[in-house]
Amino acid sequence: MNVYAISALINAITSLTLGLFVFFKTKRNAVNKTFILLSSAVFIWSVFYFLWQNSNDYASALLYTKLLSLGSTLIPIFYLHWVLSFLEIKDRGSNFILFLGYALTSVFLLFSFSPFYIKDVEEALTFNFWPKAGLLYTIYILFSYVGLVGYGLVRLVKSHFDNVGLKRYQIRYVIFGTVIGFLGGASNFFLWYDIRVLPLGNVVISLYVFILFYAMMKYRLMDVRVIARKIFIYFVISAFTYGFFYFLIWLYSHFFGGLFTTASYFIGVFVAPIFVAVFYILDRRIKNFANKYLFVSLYNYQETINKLIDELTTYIDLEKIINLIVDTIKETMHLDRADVFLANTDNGSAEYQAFKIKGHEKNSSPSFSQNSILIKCLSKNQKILVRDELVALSKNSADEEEKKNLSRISEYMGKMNISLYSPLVVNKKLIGVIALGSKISGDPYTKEDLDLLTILSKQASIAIENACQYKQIQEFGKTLQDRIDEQTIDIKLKNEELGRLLEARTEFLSIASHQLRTPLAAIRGYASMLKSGDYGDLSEEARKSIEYVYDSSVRMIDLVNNLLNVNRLERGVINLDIKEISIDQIIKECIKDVQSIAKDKKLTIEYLNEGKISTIEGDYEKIKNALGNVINNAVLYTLKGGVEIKTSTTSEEEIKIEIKDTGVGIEKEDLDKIFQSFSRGKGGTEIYTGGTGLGLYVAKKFIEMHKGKISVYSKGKNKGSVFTVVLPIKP
Amino acid sequence: MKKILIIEDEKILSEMYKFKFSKEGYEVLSVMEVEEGLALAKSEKPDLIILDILLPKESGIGFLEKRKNIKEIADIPVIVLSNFDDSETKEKAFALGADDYLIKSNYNPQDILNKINSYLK
Repeated sequence: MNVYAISALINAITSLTLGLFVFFKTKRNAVNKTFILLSSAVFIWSVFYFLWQNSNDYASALLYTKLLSLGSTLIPIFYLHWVLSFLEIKDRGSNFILFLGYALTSVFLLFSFSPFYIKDVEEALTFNFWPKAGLLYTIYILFSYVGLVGYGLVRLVKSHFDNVGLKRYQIRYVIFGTVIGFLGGASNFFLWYDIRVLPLGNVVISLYVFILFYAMMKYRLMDVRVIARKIFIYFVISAFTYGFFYFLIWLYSHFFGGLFTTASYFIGVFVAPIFVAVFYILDRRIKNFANKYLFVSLYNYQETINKLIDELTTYIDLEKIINLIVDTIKETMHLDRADVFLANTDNGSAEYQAFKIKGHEKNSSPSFSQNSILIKCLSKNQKILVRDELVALSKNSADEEEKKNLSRISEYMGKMNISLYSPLVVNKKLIGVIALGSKISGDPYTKEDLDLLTILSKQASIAIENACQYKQIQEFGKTLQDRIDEQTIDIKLKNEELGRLLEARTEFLSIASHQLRTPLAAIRGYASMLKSGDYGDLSEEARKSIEYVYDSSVRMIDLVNNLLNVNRLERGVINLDIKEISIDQIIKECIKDVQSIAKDKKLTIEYLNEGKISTIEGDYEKIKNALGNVINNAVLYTLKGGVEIKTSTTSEEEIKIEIKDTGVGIEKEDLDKIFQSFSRGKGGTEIYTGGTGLGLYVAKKFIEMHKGKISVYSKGKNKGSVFTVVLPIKP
Repeated sequence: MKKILIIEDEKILSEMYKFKFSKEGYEVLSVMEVEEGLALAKSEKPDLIILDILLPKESGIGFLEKRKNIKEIADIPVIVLSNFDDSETKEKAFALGADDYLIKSNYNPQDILNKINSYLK
């Protein structure tokens, strides 16, 4: 068996294996389907190549040659079909070439058993039977092998420059595989035309399988990586098992006299556990090896995601969460840098500031405004932005503005050494951006990486949002406390200020009232003397006028007194000056004070002293003030009729004073309020506007200070009122 | 003829009271300050003193304090006649021997005269 036969066998096995990989993964898409066809064609060609190399007679050699040609005839067209599917090329020109290819290939197949295709087999160099090309075969080489494969190669090279990222790498390896495979295959053609060159290239053909296999592993060519990884492991394990099996056979045959001897059975008892142990170790070693060397970028998504989610839920601190995200991404993907930018919306418009920078200087990561092209682009698309894709995107964009923006972003990313931006989105709002550098290995980001990043970004967004909200709540709590503290101080200061103001008011009132009282005392005094004829007789008009002056001054004095008293009552700084006082005398004085008003209004004032008690202990000024206010009111709020004052003794200890008028009366709803400060009955305001609503309040307070009682009774509006004051003999 | 000493800085008021009390037949002396009042009280020995509280230089309370220590005038009845009526001052005045404490604006000169009459007649 020569080296060409072996290489053919290897070609057959590897092609078949690769074809099966793809077949088992998925045979539904056009790329995989056409690849299976291509692999089958290579398999047919290789298998019959092997048989041909092993044939000893002319007839079988010729037959196998013709059969192998079936495979080789199909290879170029299937290859082109696969390349076009892989590149997703569907233009009319390519379709036509494909159609033409299939048509001519059919013709070749039709004549493949005729001498127009293969003339004969003859001895050539070391080979006993080498085929000789017919005319059609030459056309096949020119049209299919050079034309179709060449066209495929041209399209590959063109696409290589048009594509970016993963696809570009995939194309690169397909080109590499194509060149190796077809150049190796082409070395078979020399002898067909009596050119004395050995088909040494045949040996390297199977390399294309390994090249594609590598591309499948590393660059997810045809999405068969995971299954290929498993198959690789099974392959090595089976190789070991078979090897061990044949080793045992060899061992038994040589040293123990055959497979089924007593010694062999005996040895088998020891060998079995050794096999199991070695198998176990080997299995793990191979998996480690595969992970380490063949599948560097093949990390376990689910594991990474689960781990991150697990850890994310244990933190609420923003800093820790960001660190975790940055570290996880950077370490899982072996990146040179990873940054996180977070939106800062302090002053209305969002500013995306670098929050965490890993792998480079912080000042080389400036913040982005809400209106920057990058943020706008990320906000709009909410998808990962890969620099390599931007180049292609901007090339394909029809919108001039977008084209410009995309190329500007791409330029910026290049300048900043950033390969990818992943948006952090919550509720369709861009809360931040993850910026990633390049892989340390120089590899591009795979589809798997992007899928992982998409999921990680989503999880990270939620965690960041939660942390931000937590932080905000904490800050809010702190701000709230600060505000409370601030306002407490403020309230304290205001309170103090209020205290000062109250003091100032009191001071003002006492000074003002004192200052008011002096001129009022003079007016009242002189008027009273004028009125009583101390300065001689007055004309009736003059006497009348001076009485008005006198009444007005008394009214003003009452007002001043009431204001002062209210202020003192409110401050609780009022004391009683207890002496023996005559209620009778006080009432008479009060009547005297309102006499002229009553006379003017033609009101009668009747005073009936029925009581046995004439003196009580009390504060003269205050009792006079209290009774004076009530009597004064009775006169002021009565338009016709009169006022009746009656004192009586209800018991040995109390004196009762009733002040009854025929005035405006008090409505029921006003009865409760009538003794409150600044409260005036409705009826009262209608006929007398000079009231302050202080008189009855002061009266009630003063009477209560004497442990007395004041009450009011009225049948209603215009039905008069009765005020009843009860005072104890001793307060 | 009974003598009344008025210690009052408001001339307009002291004139008024002087007129009223003189008309009733009293000899009325009036001063505007505590010291003057004390001197006049010592020399003239009035039968009654009408005393204001808010006075220039020294208050009426000061007069009462000093009067207490001057034997010859310590017994002369004093009616405080003031517009200043806080409880503290009032209590102090009574404690220092004032016989009455009237608020000027609450009384007509006749009312005050009635009071004086009740002391002197």
